[in-house]
Amino acid sequence: MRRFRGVLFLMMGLFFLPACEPETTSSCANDYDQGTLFTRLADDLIIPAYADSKNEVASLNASWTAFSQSGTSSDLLNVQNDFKSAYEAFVKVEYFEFGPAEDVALRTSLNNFPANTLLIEANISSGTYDLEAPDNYYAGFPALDYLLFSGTENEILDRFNNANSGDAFRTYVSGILGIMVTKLDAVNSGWDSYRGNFISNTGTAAGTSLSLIINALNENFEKTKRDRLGIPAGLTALNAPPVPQNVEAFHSGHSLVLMKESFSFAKEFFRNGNGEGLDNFLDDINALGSNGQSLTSVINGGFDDINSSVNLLPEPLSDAVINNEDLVTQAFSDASRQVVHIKTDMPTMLCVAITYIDNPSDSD
Amino acid sequence: MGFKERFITRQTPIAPLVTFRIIFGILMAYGALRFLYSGWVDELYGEPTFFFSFYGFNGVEPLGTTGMTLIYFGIALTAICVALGFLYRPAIISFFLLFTYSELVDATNYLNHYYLVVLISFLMIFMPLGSKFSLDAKLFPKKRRNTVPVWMINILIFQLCVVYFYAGFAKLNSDWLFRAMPMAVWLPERQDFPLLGFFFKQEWTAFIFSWMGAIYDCTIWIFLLWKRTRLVAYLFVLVFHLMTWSLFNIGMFPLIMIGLTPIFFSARFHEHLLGIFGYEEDWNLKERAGKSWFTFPFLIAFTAIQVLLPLRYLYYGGNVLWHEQGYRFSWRVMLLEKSGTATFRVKDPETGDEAPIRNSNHLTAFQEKQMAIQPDFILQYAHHLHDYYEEVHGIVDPEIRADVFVALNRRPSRRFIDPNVDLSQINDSFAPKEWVLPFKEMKNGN
Repeated sequence: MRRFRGVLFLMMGLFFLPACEPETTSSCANDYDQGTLFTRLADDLIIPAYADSKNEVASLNASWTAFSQSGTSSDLLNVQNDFKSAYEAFVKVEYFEFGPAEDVALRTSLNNFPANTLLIEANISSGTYDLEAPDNYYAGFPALDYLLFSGTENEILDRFNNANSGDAFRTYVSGILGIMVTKLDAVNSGWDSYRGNFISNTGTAAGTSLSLIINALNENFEKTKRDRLGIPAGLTALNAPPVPQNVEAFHSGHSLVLMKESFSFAKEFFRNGNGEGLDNFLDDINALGSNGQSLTSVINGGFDDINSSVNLLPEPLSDAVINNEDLVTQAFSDASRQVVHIKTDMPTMLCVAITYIDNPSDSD
Repeated sequence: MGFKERFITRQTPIAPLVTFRIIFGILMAYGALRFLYSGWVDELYGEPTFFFSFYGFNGVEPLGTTGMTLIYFGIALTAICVALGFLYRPAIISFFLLFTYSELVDATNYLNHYYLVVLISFLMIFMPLGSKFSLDAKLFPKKRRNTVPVWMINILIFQLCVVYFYAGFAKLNSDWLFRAMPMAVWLPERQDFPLLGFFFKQEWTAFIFSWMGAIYDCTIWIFLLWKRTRLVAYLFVLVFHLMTWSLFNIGMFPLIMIGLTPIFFSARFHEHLLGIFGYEEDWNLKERAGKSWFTFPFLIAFTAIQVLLPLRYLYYGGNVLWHEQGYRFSWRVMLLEKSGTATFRVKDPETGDEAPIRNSNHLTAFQEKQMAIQPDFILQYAHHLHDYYEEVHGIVDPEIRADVFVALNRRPSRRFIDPNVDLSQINDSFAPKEWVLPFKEMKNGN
């Protein structure tokens, strides 16, 4: 009996050992209130960002309508300015490609770049095209960037005012804007009904809101790193020179602003501004980074490094990728380092899997 | 009766093996059809352009989607023949070859229970299981038999004991016992589970699952061997495997263990069981004493390999959960929550230019996920990249390095591979991989 009691105490001791360990990160079965996090993200970040994007595109559409009737250079300037602010608003919502946005393939419908300008010209001269074809490179913001900005002011005005061909160009732009308006409307109204589902879909399994936002954040962050910076800078191919015309918004020269916006909004997404965000979740469970400090501080530091190195880049980005190789390389490697923190450490600590790498068969 | 006669040569009723043959055949046919139905042939053999191999088997090439579909239909067909006992020997030999081939094509898809199927079908080649309660017995009455040498049953029992024992032994590591890893990550994922979901959100539930699992695997085979506890033990087998089946994505494994474990039961039990379906003894048959000089050394070699192979991790030192040298073929199941980020860099030694590689250009997402945590895959991939840049981009002897970070059982990530080593210059071998960086947080991975 005594021996048995000894064994029992030993077993109990082993059982409660984890409580005595210095390790402080809470278990995956923590009582953090995910519902509050999702409510704050939906109401303070995601839904306002979509509303903003929708309004910006609506005013772009309005100024386009005015210009297509007047054809004046001052109205063109309005269109161009509205285009830039609509684009800036859109790179933010690209981080939320799940739920309603995924349903309409928002990102690949509105912002596949670089635009295939030869195909755009061919489309317009033939008059037969499908602007909603999946994964096309002749619609959305990149096509507008080309049509509204390439050439001198007179060339642009003539493109749309020309008695013979102007009509075809105007129809093309109106078609693109129509799709943009429709899709953003759909996503905005989609969130009205999706919001409740998003907030209540707690937990850590694949398909929960936590796994959706973490996957969406990572996917778009890597896209920004690769498409907005790495590819035009020639950093992703061996012995390859920079390809400046592959920057986003090459013709308007707005590339650097958009890239900065995208990188800095990653941090905004992570922190939800000053509100309840993923940073609070990580702090709440005492998540540690690989240097032993809090993972929040590691991730914030990583974002700050990226933001300060992209802030050193001179305008326009298409020149910087050629003339400022060191600065561009620095920004790219800062972004690469951050991937480990947000794609491996953060999901590990929050107990969710990166599900855009899904397991097709069984596991054991 | 000496050891050899008692455990090897003694004749015993064939009934337990008849049940075994039928259940094995049905399960394997179901598994192959499920594989086809799920579209995995295309996902796992059609989509990849590069395939990882097991050491020494890098010549095994896939046949493309159509070819592999035929292979899987072949597996299903031969499995049905095995179940029916129709042309049993050709069927089981073909099954073994087809199944083993399909597993050798891409090591990414390695699962312990696939390895178990390879071993069992290999053993079944040497057993005359078509000679009773089968189409063969109807078609070729001369081949009928009531009995087999007892080793045929014992070797299968031994094999299942090895699976349980080493699965339990592997769980005796500090992460499993004292951090309840990875149960503490996986169970909370199932908090929407009917009735029990609430418990899966509790930390202590993971500890109970971990300890129960370890105790179960370490001891269940003993209670299965012991006649007095056998029936109760089998109920535990049922409950345990049905639970893991409903909670985790582990496919065929629970069904296989539930279906094959009845081999522990007596011949009488199986005769009664099969009797329901019309099985009866052929009293006019003589016992055959099919002795072979080959049997004894074969059994010694097979059992020695099975006992020693899972222990080879000791030779590598360090933490087997981290470096995974000696991890496969050792019944290490459900031990890891591991994820990694692997960025490879290719360098042209002539120009000095270096560029990161986009893994999705070479690997499927699933392959990338598996590659990033397994050193031998990292090395194979590095060699593939070396050859690719040499052949496609015409670069003379490109250098390949990798920045790999791995998070093991919910710890912050650590650098996995020495970033300064040109992996294209390293050839895989059984020698310890010095370029895998040590893992200091958890020394003994067991």
